[in-house]
Amino acid sequence: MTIELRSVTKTYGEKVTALDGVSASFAEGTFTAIMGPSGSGKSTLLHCAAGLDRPSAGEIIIDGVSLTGLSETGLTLLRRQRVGFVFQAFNLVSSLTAAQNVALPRHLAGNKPPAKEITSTLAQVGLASRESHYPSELSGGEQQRVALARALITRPAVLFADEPTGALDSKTSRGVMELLRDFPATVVMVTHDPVAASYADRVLLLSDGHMVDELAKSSADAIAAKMATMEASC
Amino acid sequence: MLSLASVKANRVRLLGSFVALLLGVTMLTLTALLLVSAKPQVPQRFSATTVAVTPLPAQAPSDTFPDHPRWTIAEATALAEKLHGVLDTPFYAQAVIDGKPAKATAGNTWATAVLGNTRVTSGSAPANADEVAVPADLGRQPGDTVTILTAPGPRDYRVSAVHDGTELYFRDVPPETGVLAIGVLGDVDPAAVKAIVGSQAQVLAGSELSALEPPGDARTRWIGMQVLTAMGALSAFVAVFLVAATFSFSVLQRRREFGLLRAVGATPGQLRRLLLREAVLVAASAGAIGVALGVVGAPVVGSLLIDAGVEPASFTVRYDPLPMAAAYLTGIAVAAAGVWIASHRAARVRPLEALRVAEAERRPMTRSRWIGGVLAAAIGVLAGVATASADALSMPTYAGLTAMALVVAMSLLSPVVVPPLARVLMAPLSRSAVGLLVRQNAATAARRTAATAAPVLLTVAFTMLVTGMVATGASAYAARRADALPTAAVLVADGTPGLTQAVVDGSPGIVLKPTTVFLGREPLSVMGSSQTTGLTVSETLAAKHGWKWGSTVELTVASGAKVQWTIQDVLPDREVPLGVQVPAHLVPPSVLTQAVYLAADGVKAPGLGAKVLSAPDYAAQADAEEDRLVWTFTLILVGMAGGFTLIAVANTLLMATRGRLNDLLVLRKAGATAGQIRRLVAAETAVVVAIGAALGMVVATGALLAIRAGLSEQMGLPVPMTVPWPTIGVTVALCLVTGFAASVLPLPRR
Repeated sequence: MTIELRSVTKTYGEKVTALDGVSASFAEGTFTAIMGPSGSGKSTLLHCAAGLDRPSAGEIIIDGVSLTGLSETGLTLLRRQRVGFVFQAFNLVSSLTAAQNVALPRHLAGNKPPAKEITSTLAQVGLASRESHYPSELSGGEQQRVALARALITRPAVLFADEPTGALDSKTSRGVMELLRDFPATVVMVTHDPVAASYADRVLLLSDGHMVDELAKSSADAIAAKMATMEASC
Repeated sequence: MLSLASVKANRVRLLGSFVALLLGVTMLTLTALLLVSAKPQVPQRFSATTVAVTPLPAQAPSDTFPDHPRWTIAEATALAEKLHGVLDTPFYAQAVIDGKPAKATAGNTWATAVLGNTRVTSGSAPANADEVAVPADLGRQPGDTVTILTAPGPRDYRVSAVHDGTELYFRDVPPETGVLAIGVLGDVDPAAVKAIVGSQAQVLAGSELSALEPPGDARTRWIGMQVLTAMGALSAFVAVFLVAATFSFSVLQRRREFGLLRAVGATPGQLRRLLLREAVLVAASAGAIGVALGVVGAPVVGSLLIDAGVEPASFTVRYDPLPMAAAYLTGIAVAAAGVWIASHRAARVRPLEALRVAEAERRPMTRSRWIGGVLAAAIGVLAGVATASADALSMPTYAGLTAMALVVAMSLLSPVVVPPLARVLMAPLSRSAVGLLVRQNAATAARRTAATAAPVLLTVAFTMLVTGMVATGASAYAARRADALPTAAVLVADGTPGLTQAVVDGSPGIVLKPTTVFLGREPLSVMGSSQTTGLTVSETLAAKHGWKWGSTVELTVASGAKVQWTIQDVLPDREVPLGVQVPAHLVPPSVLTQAVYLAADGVKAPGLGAKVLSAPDYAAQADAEEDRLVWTFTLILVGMAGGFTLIAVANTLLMATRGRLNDLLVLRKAGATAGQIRRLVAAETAVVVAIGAALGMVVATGALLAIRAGLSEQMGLPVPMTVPWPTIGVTVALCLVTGFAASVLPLPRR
């Protein structure tokens, strides 16, 4: 298992329980989509699993390392070595070029990738000629591809994607989803888009902080239908 | 490398920090250069002198400036012959040009011209008692006649030579002129001279010759030193405060960027180091420009100080590399320290913050902010207590410390008071949409509001403290100076340092002729008065020296002559203001008269270099001179600090507006008109200025209360706290105008 969540609970203050004893595991090389209505806790689940946020109770294990008890720096180092991210808002450093943004995580880790590797990584996401462009000179889809290249270059064990197509049109989304599907790592993606979820190997359904259902690889229509019944029931 | 890229990329954001550092280093360089330049200098007339031998110097407290002791010519001649030296006998001599006394007032014998390497440019050295050698700038040629004032009175001389120096040279000296020093030229070993003169004289060489500076110049320099020290302390504080505040503000504005860096794998330590390197890079470049600006500005401020009378005319800026380097390195150190503190907050930014789009501060107060704020407040209160019980000399220091500590405390703790204050201020406007937005913005972004209000706080607090301190002090001293003069009219000097004997002889009245005598090496201030019939001393002085009625005291007077005076009267201190009073005729004729209290019918046409004042005018003039110095001092401090802090006000508001362009864009999309946005930003600026001004006044009031308590204690009478409100009103108005210019003007027009 690349990632394991054991009865993870996350509460905010005393009243809000975002996650209520969620357990899940993600096998190596799989692509899992997490779906659920707004407020179901799917983003919190992702943040906790990725070590961006600390759960109130329970344990998270990434690539054999338990996150419980790791210091802030320890967590950062673990994320740096094993974890990649793609966010909805592409989150590129606006002052750095595409190539510099891609190199950034490795640069921070103290092993700056050679120019050739940066070029080839950008080529992998279809941005061969865009190296010296700044984020403001790239379209939304291109920015998300830069973010993917940035995740790719660290060769992470797991990639977390938070609504990666949320700000993209359907045509651009397709390209990004194909890249995600072929990403050489365990991929965990939060989305509310059934089309995006249809690229995943399986779909976990979350509601009110509980894991309520699981679908094997399905078509977008089947996922949409399932979501509709779920939202109607609550 | 990453930091350099980050500096390049954040050029616009870092501009604010850059400007703050630039200002800080400029101020530091300027005051440091002026401070080292304010050291006493060798008088021009000794510029070619190797060694000077003088009587043993007066033993006096360092903040008094008695005349130098002198030898009689007879005494000094023997020693001068042994040393092959020249007798330096400076005396009062002032040319009268077109009926008005000229500026220069120094006279000497032609023999001393060599000590300052002064040379004749045309004509020949004065060969008889009626001849004089004059400086070229007097505009006279050899053969011309010129009227010259000396202690006995005016007299016409024939110009025998024009020279390249600054003094008037004669063949002879006026009667009873003493010898200040024996100047020795050429290749002389000071140690050999010391061996010859023994322990009965002082031997000065090289830079020690600066001890021969006229006491008047030394006193002016001392006042200048007080001004410059205050300027130095204030500019150091303002620089540190502004730089630290601006850096921590810029960190606050870059939370999203830091969150993102954290998310892609930057450790808290890496983030801190990144910020530190960035700050040092910014400081290195801003500091270089700041030093350059300081170097350019120093002579300008220096000449202002001379014009203001707080530095002698001989003051010149010395471009010592040490203070420049110190200012530069201080700038870098302050930037590093400021950003280091702020970086801890930045490093605590969770990666998740990059994912939040809306900005809302959750915790405006951190624990370190509380600790720092409370600690600074405690120091402020302690310093305030010390102010209330301090003596006159150390009071401004403690008052300044009180204000500085309270400013720091107030700006650290202000996020706590900003939201309620904003609510109160905006209560009348909260029904309009703009009013609601302003109130909410100020309340939710307490840190940002506090940070932008900080420079206003500093400006208002220091303006109010300094002007209030001066005004309160002035009213306290005025209360003490209330006693009336025993006369209707007073004869005083006009364009001269004092009245000549000729003037005094023509104006019957009470003659006041202050001078210094030496009891051994102890200088005593003496009032020569025509009202006194014999030596009168104060009870305190008599007790100190064991004098009684009838004691005979041996003293050295201004001419260097030893006299034996018998004490005729011992009176209470308040009747002998200077401590010693003697009949005016006992004071050597080389001493000028300060004033003549004219007899009721004694008002005649005053002589050359004199004028008649009514008693009230005379009292007012004495006050006016003192007040002028004090207000000059105030103006320099307030002007300098105020000018720099105003730029800082503009700087932070500009940073704040730029950082909020996104928010404002959202408002535009939500239907706000461009006019509404401008009104919103203007109202926010007004709230920020109002908050800063209110907090600044609280700080200054605290310090002023302490000062009032201290003054009341010293004088034993209640002193009213006087606050010059118009000055403070103008300061706040300036902050408002600057703030509007910085926040509203850069907004997009449409």
